Amino acid sequence: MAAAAAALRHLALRARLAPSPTAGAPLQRLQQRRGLRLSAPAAIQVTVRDALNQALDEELERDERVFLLGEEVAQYDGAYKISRGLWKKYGDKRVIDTPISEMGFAGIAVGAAMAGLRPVCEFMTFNFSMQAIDQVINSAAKTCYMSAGSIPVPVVFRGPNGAAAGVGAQHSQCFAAWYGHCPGLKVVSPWSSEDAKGLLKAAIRDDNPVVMLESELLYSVPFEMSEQAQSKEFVVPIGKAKIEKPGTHVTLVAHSRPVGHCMEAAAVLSKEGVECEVINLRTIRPMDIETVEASVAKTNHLVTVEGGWPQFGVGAEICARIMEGPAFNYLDAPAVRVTGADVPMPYAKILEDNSLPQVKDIVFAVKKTLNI
Amino acid sequence: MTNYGEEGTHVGSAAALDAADLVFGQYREAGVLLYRGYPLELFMAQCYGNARDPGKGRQMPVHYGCPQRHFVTISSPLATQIPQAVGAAYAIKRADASRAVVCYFGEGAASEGDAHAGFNFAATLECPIVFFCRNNGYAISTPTSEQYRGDGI
Repeated sequence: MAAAAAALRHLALRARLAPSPTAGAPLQRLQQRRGLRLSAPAAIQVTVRDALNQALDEELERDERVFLLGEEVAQYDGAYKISRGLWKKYGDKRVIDTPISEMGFAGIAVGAAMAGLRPVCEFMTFNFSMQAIDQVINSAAKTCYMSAGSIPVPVVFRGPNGAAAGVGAQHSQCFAAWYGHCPGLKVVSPWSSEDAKGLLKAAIRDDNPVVMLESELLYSVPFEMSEQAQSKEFVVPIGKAKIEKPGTHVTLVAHSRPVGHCMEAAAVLSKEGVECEVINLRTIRPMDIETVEASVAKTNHLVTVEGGWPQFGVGAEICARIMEGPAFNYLDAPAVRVTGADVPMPYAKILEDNSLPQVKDIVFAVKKTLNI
Repeated sequence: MTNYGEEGTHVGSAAALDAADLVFGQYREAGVLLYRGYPLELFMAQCYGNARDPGKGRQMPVHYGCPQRHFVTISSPLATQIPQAVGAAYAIKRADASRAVVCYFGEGAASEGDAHAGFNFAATLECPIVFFCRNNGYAISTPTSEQYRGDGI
C-alpha cells in the first residue's frame, strides 16, 4: 500500500515537472534581462500592518460572530497598532481589552469558540503564549478530535513571533516548530502584505484553531498589493506555498521574514550566475511539501532558512520529508539548513545580529551546497 | 521602563529590609537596587549592554540583577517572579529563619494566574514573604477599572 502511494506521488511529481510554457514567459525573460519592474494595474503599496487591519475590519464586518480580544487591542489600538480604529468602529462587544492573563483570555477565547463565536485572540508576542499554551494545545488543538468532530474550536491565535530588534531572549523565540508539531492546529506564517491579509481572512473563516505567526519587524514594511488582493473576498488558501522567484540552480525554502533575506540573497547570487528558486512556505502546518519536492526535482539542491533554533525546527522537518519522498532521488547534495543560533537571543546588537541568519549566511550555504 | 513617581515606594520598602533579604522585582524597582548601593555606572552599562555590563549584553535594558546584593535578575514575563519568590522563601525558611523575601509586582501583573498560585502557596507553605503590589492605576493603557472589579488587589 505504501509502495503504491509512493509510486503515485512520484508520478505526480514527474507530471508537475513537465514543461508548460506560459503566455507570460517572454515578458518574464524581458523583465529579468532588462531589470524592468512591471506593476499590475491599480496595485498599491500596503504595509503588513494595514493589510492585517484590513483583514480584521473586513471579517468583523462580514460575520458578527467574529470578535477580537487581547491586551491593549481596543482603546490603545493594539500594542503594535494592528487593530487601529476597530474598537471605535465596532465597539466594546466586538473588540475587547482583557486583563493581563494569557491563560485567562486564551481560555475565554476557546470557550467562546466552543459556544459558537469566532474569536481572534491576540498574544502581545507568542513568547507570552507559553503562559496559555495548555489552552492552545490541550483544549483548542485537541478538542475536535477528542469529541469525534462534534466540538469544533474556530479560534485564531495571532501575534508577533520570532525575533524583533533588541528585545532579548524572552521576547524573541520562534514558535513555528512548537505549534507546527501539533495535530489539530493549523499554523500559518505570512511574509508579504498579501500573505498577511489573505491568510488572516482564511484563518478566521476556517473552523479549525489556527495559529498565525506574524513578525513585528515586518509590520511597517510595505509590499505591493494587487487590485485582486485589495478586494474583500481575497483569501490565501492555508496549506499552499508560493514560489516568490523561479530559479534553476538551487531551492531556497523559508517562512516569514527570512523569505525577504532569501530574495536578497537570490539577487546577490543572480549577479554571479546562480539562479535561486525562492519558496515562501506561507503555511507551516499543513506543510506544502509537494511544492518543495517539485522544486528540488528541478534544481537538485535544497537550502532551508528559518529564524528559529535548529534542533527539531522547520528546516529539520522539511529535510526529513524530502528524504522520505520522491525528491530525495533528485538531490545532488545533502540539504543544508540555515537557522538561528542555538542560544537564547542575546540583547546587544552585535550579538543579536550574529544570532540570526543573515543574507551572507544564505549565500554561503548556497555556495557550499553547490560546491562553488 | 521608568520609575517616575514610584521612588518613594522603592526607597521606603528597601529601607525596611535587611541587606540579606532576597528581592524579586518586576521591572520598576530600580530604587531598591540603588538603595542597596548598586553603582549608577553599572545601571547604565546594563542599559547599554556594553563591555562593562556584568550581564555581558545578554539582557534587555532595566533587566539588572545582583547576587551580591540579593536582588534577583529581572525577568520579562509578568508575574512569573511571584511563585518563584515563594519557592525561594520556602527554601530560605528551611535554611535560615532570619531572612525574608520581598516580591514586587504591578496591579496589572496581579491578573496573571501565577499571582493567584503564588499567593496560595505562600499561605499553604507558610513562607516568610512580603508581597508588595505597586498599584499605579494603569497597565500600559488599561486602567484598574478594567483590570479588576474589587476594591484593590
